[in-house]
Amino acid sequence: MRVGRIEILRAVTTSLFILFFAAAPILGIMYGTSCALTFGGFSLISPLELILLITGTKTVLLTWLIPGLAAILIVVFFGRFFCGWICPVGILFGYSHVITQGRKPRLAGGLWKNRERYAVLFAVLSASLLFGFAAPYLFSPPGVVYRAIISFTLSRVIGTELMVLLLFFILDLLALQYGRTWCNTLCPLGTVISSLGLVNLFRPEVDREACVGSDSRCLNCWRVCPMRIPVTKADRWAMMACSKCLKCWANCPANAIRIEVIDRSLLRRAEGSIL
Amino acid sequence: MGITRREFLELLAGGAVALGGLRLLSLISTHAQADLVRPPGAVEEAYFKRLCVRCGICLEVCPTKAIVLAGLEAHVEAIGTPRIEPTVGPCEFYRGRCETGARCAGFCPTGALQPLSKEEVKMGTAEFSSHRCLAYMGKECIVCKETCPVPGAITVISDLPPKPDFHGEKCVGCGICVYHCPAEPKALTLGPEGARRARWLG
Repeated sequence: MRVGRIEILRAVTTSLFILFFAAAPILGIMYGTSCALTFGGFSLISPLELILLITGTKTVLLTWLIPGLAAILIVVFFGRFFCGWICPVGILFGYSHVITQGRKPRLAGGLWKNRERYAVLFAVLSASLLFGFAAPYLFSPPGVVYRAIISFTLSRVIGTELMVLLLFFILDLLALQYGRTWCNTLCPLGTVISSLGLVNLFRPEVDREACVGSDSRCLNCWRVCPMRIPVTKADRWAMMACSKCLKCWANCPANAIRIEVIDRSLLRRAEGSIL
Repeated sequence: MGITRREFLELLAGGAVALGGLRLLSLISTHAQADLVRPPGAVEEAYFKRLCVRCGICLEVCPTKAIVLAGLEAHVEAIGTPRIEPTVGPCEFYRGRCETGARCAGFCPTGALQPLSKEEVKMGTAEFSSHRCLAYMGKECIVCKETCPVPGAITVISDLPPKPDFHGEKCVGCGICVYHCPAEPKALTLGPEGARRARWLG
């Protein structure tokens, strides 16, 4: 029951955001896409785009820093919330994850550390720094999809849609490996966001007493996690990849997972440092 | 979260391979169209590609929908960047119908488009193919001359019927003549030749 309701809520939320991004420029409320947006004189620049601007031009401008830092501030608190609830790609190819999530109990190889994504980020930023090629603009799924949408709704030009189709084909092939493989193993934007998400509101917390995983090897939460987080064993750093999708919470047979609005230990530490 | 030296080297090697792949990708040129007609106030191409974050704000705010996002017709590094497409809409900046300055440049969050005065702007040049021009086929048509906002960019050769004559050095590349050209296919196209780009002062 929980599972179905969560997925419906996610589909509705993502669709509303897609509608909003398509309708807002027509109504004049907000302009832009996930890369950068502006409303009422206030702008946001996505953290990855801010880094790419700096590495690409080897300069830092105040006009980028303010919108960039504003976006970083949001990300520090909400982490990969964007990936779980807003990103149009999450829902559009989430179904491939549904196919593979049951098949691969991810127990072999111990804890998943998802270190490949740092290699990808390293390559992307080096390319920007060394020869000015900002690869994410070419294939970062949310950017490509939102651009295709506004390109179609506003100028009736089809061209970037081809890229979207190609992108989904590749993403679906990739999804055979680890479900949302793009998101959990490759996405440079996801890597940047999760590395910044220090406060990480709404993260799952496992109740060790209630969890049946230790003896029955249930590990449902590991299996359903689209971000490949070993939920029951994750440390703070691994948990920063959490997209707050609530799948682990909804799929836990023992109801051992609750969603913690604020990380209590972090709160305590902050209190300690103030006093 | 310890990492062994072997793992680290593997990741480094993976990153280096990926970097090589990106370098190869950046060299792909699907089409000869290396340069595009950019919106008014665009900085030099080498910096434009690095400064434009492909957010699409310029396209969304353009009152005449003259801006489209470059697709696969562009160089790989330029996909998703804005270009002027006069067959969809002409750029009204020079004619002064686009608020006070160029709206796209005013909204650009990164400075890829810089606010310029209209005298400084030259986005490209309209190219004329007389064999498609109605006037050269003996019909009465000087629509391009009548719609051109730039004094002296299009003059009329007194003949029967009168024919348009183009002066590329005065053309600002707004694409208004291209938009209004009634010939099918159009006798005019807009190209990036002679474009004057804003200087990037980073």
